[in-house]
Amino acid sequence: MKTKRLPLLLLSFFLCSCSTNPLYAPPAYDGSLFEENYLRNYDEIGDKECSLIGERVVFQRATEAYEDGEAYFFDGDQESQSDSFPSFGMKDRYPELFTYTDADGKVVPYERLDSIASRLDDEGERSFGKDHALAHVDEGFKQGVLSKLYNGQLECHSWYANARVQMEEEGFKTLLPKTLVDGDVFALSLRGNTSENTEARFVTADVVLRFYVDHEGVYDYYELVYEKAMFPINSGGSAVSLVGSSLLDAFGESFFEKGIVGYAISFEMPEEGYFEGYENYRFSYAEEGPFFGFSVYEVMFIDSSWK
Amino acid sequence: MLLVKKFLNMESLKRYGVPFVVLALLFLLSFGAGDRGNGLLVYWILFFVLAAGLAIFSNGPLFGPKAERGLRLSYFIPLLVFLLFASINRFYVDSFGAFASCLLLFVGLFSSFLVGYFLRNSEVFKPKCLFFAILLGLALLVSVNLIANLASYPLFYPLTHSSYVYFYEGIPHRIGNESNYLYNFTLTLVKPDVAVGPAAVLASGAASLFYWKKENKAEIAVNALTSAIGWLFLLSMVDVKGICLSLLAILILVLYRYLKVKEEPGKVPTIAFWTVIGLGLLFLFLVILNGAFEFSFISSSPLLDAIFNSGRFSSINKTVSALFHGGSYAGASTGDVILSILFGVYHDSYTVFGGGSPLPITELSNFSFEFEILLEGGFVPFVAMIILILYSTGSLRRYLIRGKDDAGKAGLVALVLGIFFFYTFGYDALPFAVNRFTASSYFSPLFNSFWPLVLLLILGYTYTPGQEEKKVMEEEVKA
Repeated sequence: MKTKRLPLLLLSFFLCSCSTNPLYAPPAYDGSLFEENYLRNYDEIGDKECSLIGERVVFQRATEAYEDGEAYFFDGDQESQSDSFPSFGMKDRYPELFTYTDADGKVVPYERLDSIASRLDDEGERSFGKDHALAHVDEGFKQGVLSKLYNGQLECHSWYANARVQMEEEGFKTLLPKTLVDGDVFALSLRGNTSENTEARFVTADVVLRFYVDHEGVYDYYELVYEKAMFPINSGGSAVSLVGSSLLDAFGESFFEKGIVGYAISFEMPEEGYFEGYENYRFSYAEEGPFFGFSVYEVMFIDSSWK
Repeated sequence: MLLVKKFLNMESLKRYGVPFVVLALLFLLSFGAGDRGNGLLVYWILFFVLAAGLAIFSNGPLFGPKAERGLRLSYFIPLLVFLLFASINRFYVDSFGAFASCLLLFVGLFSSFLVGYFLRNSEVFKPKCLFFAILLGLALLVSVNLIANLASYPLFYPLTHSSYVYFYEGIPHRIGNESNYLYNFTLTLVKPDVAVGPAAVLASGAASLFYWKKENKAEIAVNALTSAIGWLFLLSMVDVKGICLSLLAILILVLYRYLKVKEEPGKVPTIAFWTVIGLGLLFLFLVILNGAFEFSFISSSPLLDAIFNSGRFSSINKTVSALFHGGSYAGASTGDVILSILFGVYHDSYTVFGGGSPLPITELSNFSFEFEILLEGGFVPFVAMIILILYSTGSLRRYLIRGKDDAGKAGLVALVLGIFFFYTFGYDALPFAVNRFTASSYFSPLFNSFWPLVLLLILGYTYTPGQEEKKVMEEEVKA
């Protein structure tokens, strides 16, 4: 018996490896080829998905393109200021979200809309992204490839693949590390990317969101669509669209009753509204390029409560 | 009550108190307690107090017979020159501001040597006590590192999953570039070599298993268990360098155990030894000259270029180049160059070997503590250190083979060999794990590491004069 104790002890030692932070084989969504970097088959909901709760809610043109805090949009080759942009942007709808109370008790606008990751806990100028990053909620939001969406960085800042999650139309489905029990405004920062450099322009797509509720072991869902959301592509690293709306306006008070345990993002491309030449672009399942992808930089549940 | 009275008896305190404190300090040092920030400063002060206390309250002679004085100086002079100019120099005083800190470093390091030296003849302070104090401290440190790694990464990950990444706050971290390390009670991510170092030294301690007598069952068990932890870590990290260097240390001790090695080595081994040393010094001289003058005949030859300009020699060339250019890329005065060569460069200096952009020297790691000493202190402490290494080799050899075989003695020598081998080939002055968005800060081998204190204490404790020195001593005593 004594001789068996040592091997058993050693065996128990080697069974310790039990990290919860998943490992990713190279290129880990940061390859030199554009088509290597799609997040594909990322589905934590699996076949437990059940049925739609209520009806699909559709918002039209809930998009604002911004750069460094100043909204602008492309009109072909021209740039215009936000005054002439249709007022469906988040800054127009929810102006109070883009302000904070400073040390003197004054309500001031954020100096920056986003923060470069790795400075999440740095003191310095306040930013909308840093203040509302989900990484502050729980350690679970800091782990995994989707932690790129919770670190307060809404723009590229030359981090390229390290700042974004690049996806195809099917997008991804994920469970949240904690259960969302209260909140209101949901937002995501996104843009498009191609494997070729072209002129800066907009692309239009329907952003389809699902919010999952755990219903006796299966996941029923609420569905929300931002119709014909416009977001820039190939316009330099700092142009993204901030897309979002109030979840309570969309679904009513019952939305948070059971708590939201996961969400999914996917895209639908209506035929009209594509930029010229889109029909020549592919997603990664095609053999040849040029390739196009949706790039999400940040997912935010603003002023939310969790358990 | 009787035990307490016995312990508080002044004679008992004098007999057991200081050795107990020294052993406790060695244990804590080896565990890495207080290894961060100003923690080492406390050890420097404590060692000074202990050395001073031993000097003041000792009953017998501390430094040995007067006749030995001249011969002791041949060891102490290079030791003092090395410690003085490696501790107090332009690199440290410029960057760390306070001259007092540098002085405390010098005093602390010398005191740790003296503490070992003063206790070398102590009946209570036996070799195996030191050996186990260090071994247990290292075992505790390495076992925490091992468990943390097993919990965080797959087994044998440096071999099987080296290029895999995990994401933290959106930033990818390549697991092959990191290891867990308990740095002053905080788990920190360091480069694999940094975590392997203590394990390699711990694994070298297995050499003394060949020296224990059969009746020393408890000692054998503790030695085996603690060394096994070191080996487990080395194997889990698949660190070939650490495994080879630990095996080398063990092999040397095993050879001394089973071969009839005489204290007087004889002509042939002596000639062979000094030939090897001579060739090594010649090679070192060529490396230094190439670093200083960037010989075109070396860079134009593929073979010579591969030997002298690639790998870690690239870093050494940059170090030597910094010294020979006064640490400046814009040109330095002759006086500044001479001072840099002799006494090192300032902390904010640059190196320009091989062209390209000037590199701040604090972004440079030589992967060898000897060349970090060269960078920080210049050639004066570097040459003194080489002389000290040669003298220490003789001293340790005599310590090991004189008198009866003793596992504690063998263990101490094994630890010294383990420390010397690993930190000659594996010291990383930029220890922290990096990703594409971070860089490690510079870690000095003297200012920021506990190893010099441990090593110097062992060298002081094991100091053994040569037979010739003993003969001269005996003749003078007779006279």
